[in-house]
Amino acid sequence: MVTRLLVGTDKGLFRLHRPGLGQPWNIEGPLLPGQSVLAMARHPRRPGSWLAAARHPVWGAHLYASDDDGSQWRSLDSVPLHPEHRHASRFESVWGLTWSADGARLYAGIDPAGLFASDDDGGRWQDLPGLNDHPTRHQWQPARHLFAAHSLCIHPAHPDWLIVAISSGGAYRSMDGGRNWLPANAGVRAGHLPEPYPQVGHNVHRIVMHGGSGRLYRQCYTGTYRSDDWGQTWQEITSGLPGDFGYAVAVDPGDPDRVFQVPESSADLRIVVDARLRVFRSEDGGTHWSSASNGLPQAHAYVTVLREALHTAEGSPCSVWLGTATGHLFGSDDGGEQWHLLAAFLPRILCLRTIPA
Amino acid sequence: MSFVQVRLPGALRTYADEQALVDVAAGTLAEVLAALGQTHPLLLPRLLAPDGSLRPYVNVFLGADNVRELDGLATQVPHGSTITILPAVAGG
Repeated sequence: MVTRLLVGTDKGLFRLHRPGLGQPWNIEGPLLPGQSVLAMARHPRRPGSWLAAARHPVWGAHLYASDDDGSQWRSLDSVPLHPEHRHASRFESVWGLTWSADGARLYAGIDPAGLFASDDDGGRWQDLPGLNDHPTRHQWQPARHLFAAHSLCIHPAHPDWLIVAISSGGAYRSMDGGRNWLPANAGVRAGHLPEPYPQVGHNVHRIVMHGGSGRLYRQCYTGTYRSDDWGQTWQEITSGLPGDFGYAVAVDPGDPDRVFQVPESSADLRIVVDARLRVFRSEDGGTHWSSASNGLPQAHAYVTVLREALHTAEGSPCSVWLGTATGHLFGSDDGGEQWHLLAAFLPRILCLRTIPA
Repeated sequence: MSFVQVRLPGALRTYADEQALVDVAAGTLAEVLAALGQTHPLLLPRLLAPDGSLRPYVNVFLGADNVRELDGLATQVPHGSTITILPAVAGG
């Protein structure tokens, strides 16, 4: 049973704790007050060790580390930077943090779009020019408020296999530890571009991986997709969802076929479809979908769930957690069968993670 | 070389051993900030953008004058002067 959560918001980080199932959640925070917490990552081998990417409108964007599951944070003294004069800006903020499975290497996806690696826990960063100077980079462009690399996944059986999302630029995959990259968008629509199925340029909102199998799910500006061959091809699984727009997608850590998605209305409106906060769940890899939304507001819910704000945690069934841009935090301990409101008046929720027991 | 006093805003004192006032020896504002960075390395990236310019919503005053209306980072700092760092009032 999950008893602790870290919730990153537009005004800082909150830590939630409950003594037991059915007990009210205690809220601690805001930690990193006043900062937009954009991403968090737990070290895979060091208990209690976390990193967070945060941005303050005055003091800039920085990385922070915690050794006690998020109670106390200390600033790191460096951030990943593009080489001088390569782009208009060397660094705006970190949008994605991913550890290698052995915890030896840390990857950061940044705005302006770029991927960097650190072998000393974020002390020094190395550029990955195979991606950052990719010959197709001129076809990348900023999405609304964002021009970043994010959603980096590392194949569980092949540590040299990487896949990353560019918003907007599409997905790219590497089979050699990040030296060389190829577009990974075959079968993915791009409604904002003249070609229906371009090679690159897609606006990818989120890619998640099932940690056991390496199966990938992807939520795009247009459509929801699955890949069973590490991004070489994608199968659209939007059919059965009430819309093809959305940000958040998550997969059950214990079952690669069980996937969750929050449908949003058009790109113009960007709130949940029909003002009903619904989580759609598939038990067969996205072939069939049904609403799993008991306990979520089903009328006049003019909210959105952002890309890092839907999260699953291991369990039988898995637990599912979501936060809205209006600061409502919901959880389900039974795979989405029943949802409960944990907190209603948090700042805009940007990301959330469970803390293992 | 001048000896000047730097007043830090509350939000940044956590990166300066909780000090509100820091004394440094420097000739220009750039040297003031570099000296601060020597003793308190986490301060500097909060004041300067990665390209080395003053962050857009960070205001630095020499006495009562905003250094942006003087010579920016090249502003000469007289001996005994006070430099005040404040976040800009942005957003209404």
